[in-house]
Amino acid sequence: MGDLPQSHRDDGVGNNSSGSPLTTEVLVKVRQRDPQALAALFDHHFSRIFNLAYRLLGERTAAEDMTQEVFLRVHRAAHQLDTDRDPGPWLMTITANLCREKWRSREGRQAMKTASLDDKPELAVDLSNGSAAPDAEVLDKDRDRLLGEAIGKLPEAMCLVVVLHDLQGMTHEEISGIVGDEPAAVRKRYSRALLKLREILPDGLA
Amino acid sequence: MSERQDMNLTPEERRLQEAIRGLGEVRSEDAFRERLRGQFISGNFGEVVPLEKKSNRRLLWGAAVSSLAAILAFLVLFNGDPVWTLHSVTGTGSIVVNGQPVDASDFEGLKDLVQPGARFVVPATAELELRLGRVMVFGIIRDSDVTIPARTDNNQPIHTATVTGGELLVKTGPAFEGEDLLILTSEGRIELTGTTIAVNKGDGFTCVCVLEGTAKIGKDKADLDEVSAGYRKVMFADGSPSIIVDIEVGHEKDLTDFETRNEEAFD
Repeated sequence: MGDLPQSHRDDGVGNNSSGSPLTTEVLVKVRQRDPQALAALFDHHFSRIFNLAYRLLGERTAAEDMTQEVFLRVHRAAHQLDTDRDPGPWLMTITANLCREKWRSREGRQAMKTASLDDKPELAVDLSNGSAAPDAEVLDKDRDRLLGEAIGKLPEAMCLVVVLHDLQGMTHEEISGIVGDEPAAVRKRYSRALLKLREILPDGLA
Repeated sequence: MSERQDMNLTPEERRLQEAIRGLGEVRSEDAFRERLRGQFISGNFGEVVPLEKKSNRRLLWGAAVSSLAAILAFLVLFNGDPVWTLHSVTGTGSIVVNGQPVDASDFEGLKDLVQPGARFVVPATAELELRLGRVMVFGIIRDSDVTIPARTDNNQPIHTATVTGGELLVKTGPAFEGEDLLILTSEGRIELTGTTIAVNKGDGFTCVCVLEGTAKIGKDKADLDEVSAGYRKVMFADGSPSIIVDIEVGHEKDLTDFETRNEEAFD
């Protein structure tokens, strides 16, 4: 997952989800629930988990509930952590599967329908816009809001693939491990999702 | 990660992809992050309410009255069993239900004829959609002849539909879990355990496209292949070997539209 766009690496305000991978030594201590190791794991992955939940559920409160649920489960299962592997895919899988369960509930779908993806747009941080003129910044934010909402309107399987591939930086191969379909099927679904997004988005944006 | 450089994207799709990848990161509330960090490090999450219960609490008072009314109405009317209902009809012409022609514009007339095991002969100028509660949605496409499942035995919840001609689109819902749908054509059988598919019965062949999930498709029980999303299996009446190939663009679009139309069918 090393090729995420820069804006997904570190927002500079404490939501750091990047840096060097956690060492095996740290992961061994996570298994023992060592407080410092747990803190390192949290700092390393919190932002990606929160952002994945937010993009999939489309609403801040739901994303917070989901992030808490994920970390609760991780804490309970810490002794099962595979210290030879990057825990990132495991955490993404837990988050994606819990979001899918939520989607399948009536309330989950309701949230997707009614929420704007940027329900607190002032908190959306895009480092690439740092030097943009105010008007351009407003236009960019409006474009991002429409695009985020359009992703939220995709059928759930398509939404999941787009978010994992383009916003979480996962390959089709990695996504297939999460959704349980062949990589070729994931690739096709991703292609269909782009077509669908072009239909959903206003002409100027599509 | 080289696979992220998707090949074969059109310039428009490439621009769209770049726009998605450029979406800004969403920052969490500092207070939330710090509280959760402390909980994770200490292992003390306090009284964590399961996600579903949290949702339920928020919705409880608003939903209580309407839910109770809906449950009572459901129990009184249907004695707990979901029933087939007509959801929509588009187009013109005469739709024949169990041998009785009804104009496509007569929604109420058509609705009254819907019953388990009913046979629908739809002209080339019309389409209709039927729903079985939260179990499944059927889309009967133009120029089709389809018999919907008869009432199932509670001890053996297998729904059996027949496609005599034309195209049937199927999307299963959350209440489908633990049940099975068997679709028969003259060329073969399709067994579903939860998916979105199209069954296209043409002259001398049956083509089954799988949009989501997997379906077991074959000429008979011994010939069943598991066909996964993005593929279709074509079975021939003349004994030619069946083939499994990529889903056809036209069918894929029909299915994607059907899937999108029914995205909220089970809410």
